[in-house]
Amino acid sequence: MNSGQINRDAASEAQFRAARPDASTWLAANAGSGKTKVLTDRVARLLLKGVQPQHILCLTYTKAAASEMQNRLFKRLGEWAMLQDTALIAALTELGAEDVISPEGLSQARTLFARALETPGGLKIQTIHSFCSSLLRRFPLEARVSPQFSEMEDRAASLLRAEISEDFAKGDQAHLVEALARHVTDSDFDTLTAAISRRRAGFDTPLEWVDLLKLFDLPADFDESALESLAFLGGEEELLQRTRTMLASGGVNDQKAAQKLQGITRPTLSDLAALESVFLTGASAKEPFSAKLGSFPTKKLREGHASLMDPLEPLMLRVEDARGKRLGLMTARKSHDLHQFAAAFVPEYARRKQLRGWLDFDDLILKARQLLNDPGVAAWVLYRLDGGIDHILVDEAQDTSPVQWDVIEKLAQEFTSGEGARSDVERTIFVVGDIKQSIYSFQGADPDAFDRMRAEFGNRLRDTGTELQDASLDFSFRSSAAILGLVDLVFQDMPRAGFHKESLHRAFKGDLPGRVDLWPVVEKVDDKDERDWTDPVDRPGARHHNVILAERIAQSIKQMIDDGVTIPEDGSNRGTFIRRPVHAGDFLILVQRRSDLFSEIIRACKAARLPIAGADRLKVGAELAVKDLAALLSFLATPEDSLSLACALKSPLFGWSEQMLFDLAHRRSAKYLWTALRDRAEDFPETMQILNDLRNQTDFLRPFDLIERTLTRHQGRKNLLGRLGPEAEDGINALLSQALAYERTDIPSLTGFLVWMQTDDLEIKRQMGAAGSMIRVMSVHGSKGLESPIVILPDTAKRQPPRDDEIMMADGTPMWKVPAAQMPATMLTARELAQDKQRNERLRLLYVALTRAEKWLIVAAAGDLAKDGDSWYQRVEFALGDAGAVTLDTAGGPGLRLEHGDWDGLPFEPREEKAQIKSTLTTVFTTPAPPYAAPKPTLSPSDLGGAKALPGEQGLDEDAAMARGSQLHLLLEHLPSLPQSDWPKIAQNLLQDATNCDEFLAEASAVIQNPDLSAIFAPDTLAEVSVTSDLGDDRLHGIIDRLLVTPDKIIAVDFKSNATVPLTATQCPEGLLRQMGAYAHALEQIYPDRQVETAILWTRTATLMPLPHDLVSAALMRRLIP
Amino acid sequence: MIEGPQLTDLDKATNNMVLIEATNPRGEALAIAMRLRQAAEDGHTAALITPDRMLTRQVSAALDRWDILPDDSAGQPLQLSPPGRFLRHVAELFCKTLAGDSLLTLLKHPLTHDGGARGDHLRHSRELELQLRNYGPPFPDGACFDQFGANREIMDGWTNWLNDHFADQVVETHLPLTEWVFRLRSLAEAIASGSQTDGAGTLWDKKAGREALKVIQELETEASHGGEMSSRDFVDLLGALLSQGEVRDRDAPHGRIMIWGTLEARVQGADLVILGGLNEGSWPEAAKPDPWLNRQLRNQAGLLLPERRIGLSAHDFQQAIAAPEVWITRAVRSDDSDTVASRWLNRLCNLLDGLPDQHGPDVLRAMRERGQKWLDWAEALETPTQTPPALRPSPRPPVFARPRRLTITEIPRLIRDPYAIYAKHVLRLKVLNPLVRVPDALLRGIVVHEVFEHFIKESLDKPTLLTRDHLLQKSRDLLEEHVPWPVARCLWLSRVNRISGDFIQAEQTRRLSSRPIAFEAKGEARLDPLDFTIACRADRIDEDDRGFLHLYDYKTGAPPSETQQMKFEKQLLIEAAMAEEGAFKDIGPREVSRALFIGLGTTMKEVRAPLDKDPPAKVWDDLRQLIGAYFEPDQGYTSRRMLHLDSDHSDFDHLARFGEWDRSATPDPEDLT
Repeated sequence: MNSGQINRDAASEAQFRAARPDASTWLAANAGSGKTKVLTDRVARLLLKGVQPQHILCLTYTKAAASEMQNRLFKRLGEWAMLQDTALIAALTELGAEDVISPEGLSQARTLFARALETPGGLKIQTIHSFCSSLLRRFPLEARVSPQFSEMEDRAASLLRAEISEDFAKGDQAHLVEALARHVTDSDFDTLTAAISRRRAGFDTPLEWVDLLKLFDLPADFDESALESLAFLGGEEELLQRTRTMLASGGVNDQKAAQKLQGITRPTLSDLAALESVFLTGASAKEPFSAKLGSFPTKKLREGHASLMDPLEPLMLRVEDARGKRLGLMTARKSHDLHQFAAAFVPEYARRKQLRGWLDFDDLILKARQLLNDPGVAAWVLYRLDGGIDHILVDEAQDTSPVQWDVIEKLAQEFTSGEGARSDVERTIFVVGDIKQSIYSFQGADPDAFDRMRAEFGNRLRDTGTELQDASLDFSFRSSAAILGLVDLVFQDMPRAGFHKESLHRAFKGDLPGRVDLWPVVEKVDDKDERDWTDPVDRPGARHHNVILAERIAQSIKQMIDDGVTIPEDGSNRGTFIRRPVHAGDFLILVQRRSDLFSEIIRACKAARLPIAGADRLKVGAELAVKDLAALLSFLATPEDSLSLACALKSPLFGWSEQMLFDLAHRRSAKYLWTALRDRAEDFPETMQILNDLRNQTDFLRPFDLIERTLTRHQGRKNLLGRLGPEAEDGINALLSQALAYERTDIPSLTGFLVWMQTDDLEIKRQMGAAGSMIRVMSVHGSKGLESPIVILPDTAKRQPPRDDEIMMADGTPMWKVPAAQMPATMLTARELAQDKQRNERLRLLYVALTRAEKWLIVAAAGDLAKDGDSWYQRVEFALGDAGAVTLDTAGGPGLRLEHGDWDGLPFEPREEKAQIKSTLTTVFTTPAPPYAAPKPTLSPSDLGGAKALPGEQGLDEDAAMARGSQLHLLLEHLPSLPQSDWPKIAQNLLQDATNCDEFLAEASAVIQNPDLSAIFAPDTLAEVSVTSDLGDDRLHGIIDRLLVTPDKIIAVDFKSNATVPLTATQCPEGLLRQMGAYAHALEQIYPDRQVETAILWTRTATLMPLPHDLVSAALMRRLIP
Repeated sequence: MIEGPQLTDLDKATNNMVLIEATNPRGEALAIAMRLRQAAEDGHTAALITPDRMLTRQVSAALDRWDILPDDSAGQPLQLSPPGRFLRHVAELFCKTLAGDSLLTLLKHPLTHDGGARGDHLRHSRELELQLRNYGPPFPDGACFDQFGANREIMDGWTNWLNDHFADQVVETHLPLTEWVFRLRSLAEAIASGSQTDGAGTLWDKKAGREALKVIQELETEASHGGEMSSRDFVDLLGALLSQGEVRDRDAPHGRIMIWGTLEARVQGADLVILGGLNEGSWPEAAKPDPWLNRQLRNQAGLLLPERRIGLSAHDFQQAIAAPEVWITRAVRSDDSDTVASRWLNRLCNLLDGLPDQHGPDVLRAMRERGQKWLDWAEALETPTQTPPALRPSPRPPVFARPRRLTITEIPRLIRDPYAIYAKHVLRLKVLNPLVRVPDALLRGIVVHEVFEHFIKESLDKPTLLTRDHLLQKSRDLLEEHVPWPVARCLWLSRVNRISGDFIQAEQTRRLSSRPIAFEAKGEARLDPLDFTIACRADRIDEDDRGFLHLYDYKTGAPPSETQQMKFEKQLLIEAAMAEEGAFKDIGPREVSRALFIGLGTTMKEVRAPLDKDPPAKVWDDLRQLIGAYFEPDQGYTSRRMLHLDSDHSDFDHLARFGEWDRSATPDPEDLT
């Protein structure tokens, strides 16, 4: 077959090369360069090469990415499965898999879909956490975890930490808690224990006091008295006395200094701080905290008291020297308390987790690493992993933490060391990431590891004689050259943040017009309330700069939509573009954090009646709809909770007005609102109907069902959404899932659930993925992977430096933070390092923000910019200047614009309005279902009333007669077709418990052997025949003992074992006649063309009594017309 | 590629098939419920078949609106049935210190005290709840029950019953399983029967009760083999045993609307079959990893492979999908990610899509369109009628209904959030304390105030006690008494310790010129000519040699700055004005020479009230003006009038519907009648 050469453009060529399945590859991929496609292509090409799906491991960063990849892959393979040869060849050629194009290759390609679907254990496309979790579940013994372990939730972790702390505080470890208590205020305790458990690796080896001294550059035997004797050599008391006298004679500043030295007699350690404040320069000085030699005291005094200065200046120097040591010692003491506590806490925390079979998120990775690091079992584990992993693909590698890299490294060890159980197999590793988009350091991501690991893997592969292909994807399929050009300018020369010189951006859509606008900064406004407290008139306060910016954004968007401003869009042919009017869904507003500005923007857009998707995160408990439901539940749990009842009544669930509530609440004489409401029940029938129904259910329904009942049966959902708007739905749904989660972890009760809700500060992510028809506002972190035609960045002004971590790290050793002004050198260095990392990460965050834009980027700011030009706003401003942006008229004054391409020259296409068809519902869905009518019970012919035996029937009671009847029936059913010689034995078997087996057998034999009756037992007769028919409105179902079917006649025979046999048909008991009448009736429906006759065979006398048709029909009629 | 093209009449084959791809599980459930509702209307039998219990629960909930109770072949797990939950709650008593919520949960349980006089029991329980919410203690014990019973009319034996069966049940040691079972059963029966009768109440009566009893009896029989264990382990064991049972006692379900598990579905049929939750991981379920043997080893050992379960699932699917009318449903997203369609559905769609010559794609589209109709209906069913949101309230009750008395701590609230004053004093509503108390700033304030009040009083009588040691001893004693949380005790003691030196030094200075004459002094004064009384409680009043007063206010939070006091934080200034008006009866009108906040936070901080800039007489006039304004009929009680930060929280925000309106909203004055 002809494989046909394909001409790829440079962008596709790069993708194609990166997806080469035979080369281990390290791929640096710019934003919007199509890395997911490369990943999917690569997996597809591996499969085409014949790699078994279970030998591929693809690690994604999120669960969402994993399922997206699976779906993409299935779609691709599914298409192949159904393609004709030519089309399949084209598809494979485009993919670059020309080598498999042969008849066998094609049919092989078509089977991949099924093979991938049915991969034993499923395709391994998953997050590293879920991979580690399944690894531990497979090897619990080797990993020393409980086989039934469960993944611990944050809330459970927090409760467990509190439990341990409480136990410590009341037990033998109280001194540890007391030591900590000296340094913390009460709200911080959980923060601290959380920080300890997050940094637990740092506490693995107990740190001795001397180690800490060393960490802070102090000698091993250093302590408070050493410090004291270092600073004070004796004679200071007198020296200070004289200094005070001198200062008192000086000017204002000198006198202030004298004041500070007041009260120091013989100086001790506790006076050092006061001495420092007098003798040393301040924090903002050129040389901070150095002795003020030559500048203290004022010149006049200095010159007038030279003899005093001689001993004073050495003291000043000693104080300078002591300061660093003092801070070091204080910090060491504090950290020592922390380490002492942690040394007890960390193992206890681990122990209690183990007891409960809990693993937290970090444990999954740590334990997996431990498992793979254990030389005793690692090889065995790898071997047993479904025969081994041969190809590893890592997505979003820049966000991989060092521990996670360890796990990946171990998994790849076999093939980077060139050994392994199956060394003949080809193995590859593929890592794709973008160091410029590493913004998850708070989740442990380490961007430096990306480059480090590249070198590491490169070296190791080289040792085994293979190469690591180093590749990059530079083309953006997303953004216009205007935006990409700006990005390159903003980040030029910033290698430390990950922006290498060579990694410039190229626009795949070279002709796509684009714009970058910069709005003027909204100057800072303080909105301190200056109103007079005695005058309670409602007046608006001053407007904060954030409010002004938010409103400016909302107004601009509104105007752009109203004015029909256009935006470019891809045309129908590749590389052509059109323009169309903008709509709300085109706008993506990105903020650095969810701050006031964030909520002001949402507020302003809502006020301008713009469709906006609400916050991208929501605190479930803070949602109004959730509060409404919680109020109702609180009332149901405690009817005396009048406020909750009042809140529920005023909520959309009941829709009470202020006036109604005033009327009920203010005028009540009862203590509780509920009593008052109940007393006036007839005034509020609807409210009471709902409350009464729910109160009746409260004890029996679980919280989830109780909420659902409120929402559904009592229209709660409809009422809430109708008033609070559609976004209330997310809160409601989150509450429902919370109720379910609660059921899984706790013993469900309403009281318990309410407590759980109060203490659970659950925050959920709202799904805002694809652009819809609404404006999206979200954090840059949340926007990772998204894109939008227009991006607005309003949150670009100065930002405070990040707060220091509670526990700071110096070379892997945890230190307990002290206030910045008291940090010793070691901690300051660590702090500078951490802040430097943060600054670089913030730059990368800007990169992510800028590259979300396809065609139009708008940058704005409110409040102060940074003095050092470090703010996002200024960075963009400088770059725009360099790029030659022109002045632009904006709502707030002159701004800047950088433009590429002929925006307004594109052909215009009006936007198609999707007609909204509103479904109308039939009444079926608005009314209750008709009550279910159970079908009438089926009638039995023997239950149609009337006596079954002649009066005076003797001997047996009813039960015994029944038993006798069924025994005889059994024999008569089975014996006729069997050899007579076997009868006694068969009778024995059939009638197991019967005491008078012989008697029954005799009676049955007499019947069967009676030649007059032989026709009835002839082989072509039917035994035990079920019949079913209508009987008036009823259903009739019975079993006929013997049925003789002939072409023109049907005879139904029933065996009766009555002791007293009637002489004539007319004397037959009424019940039996009705029964036979019913058979006749049924058979006539079945055989309408034949004559139907009935007869009774009396076993006692072995006689057959035919019954006249009219007789039995008349009897049946007596049943029908009672 | 070989069989596919030979398929014919795809339209006929799929004529009675509907494909639902809902955006989320809820939408799926709703569409299914609507179809079942239709079946109920038409008198058809219809069955939902799915292994996804969440889906069935959602469908059942949705059906409730039409009064349809589906006939669900799965029962309720025993551990979630009333007796199951009851037994687990009782067992929890052995391992967790009794707290308010666990006590009330059990007292309110429908099986508790069901042997007689349940009405009285419920009445008492509610009173006890209010008592605990108002006054604690957070961990109820025998003493608290006795105290509760002491001055109330309580039925005989009720407090003893609480004492015997709820107080102090924690067992710290390991016990033999036999002992655990014995204790559990005795305790559960005693709690179920209640204080008036012996026996076991109605605990074992109903179907679920009988099932639970069976489990307990079985455990009694086997317990001797169980060895010793901790209470926590026993609770886990009990939960696990109960979870194996299942109770079916639904009353009168709808006979034609069924919910079946995949296994039940095999033996039954219906006119309409709905295959729900067709996503990977749900149907088929994800294969459980085998901790012991991997797939190959299992194979070599001749054991069944995990794939067999999937095979069985496939069989279920195949049987179910062959019904006369079939619905296939799934949700495209769940939680925060896309779902992957069930492999069989994936294959079905892929097959149809790949057969354009036989109109496969058309047929598939038609299946989807038939489904879309129902999804649209489901959306319509949920589409609410828009109603206007609530406005920012500013109620104007009749003047006679307005408050005639406020305390000075309420004045800042009247300035900042008048609606809160309206709700509290006009509607007479207040926040109920939470059932589960935590050591919060409020409690810390109360305890610290008490510590300093006691300390100052004692040192007044005995000046030698004005020492740091005594202050710490006092703190320790009172913390022990009022704060049953060891960590909080430790932290708060440390706080006192941190400020003790500074405080004592300052106190010694104070004593040189004045001495305390009143603590926690109640004062009230009429604000003539208004018919209005202002009341306060002064933390401490000192008197100096000249007879002038010194007012002190302890603050455990940050004391308000002078500027803040000039503006809104008026309480101490008003207190001074009140003192000069003679609000403190035992002291009489006196001149106030100083008023001071003593901040007892992380450091000691003293802040003066600016009596010179804002003299008492002026403050008194200003206050009269403020209160006077609220006696004008057209003055409304606006919600959050001056609370500027959205994060500032008020107890009555929810009642005011804050959130439906925001801080830019214009208040809506409303004359109440």
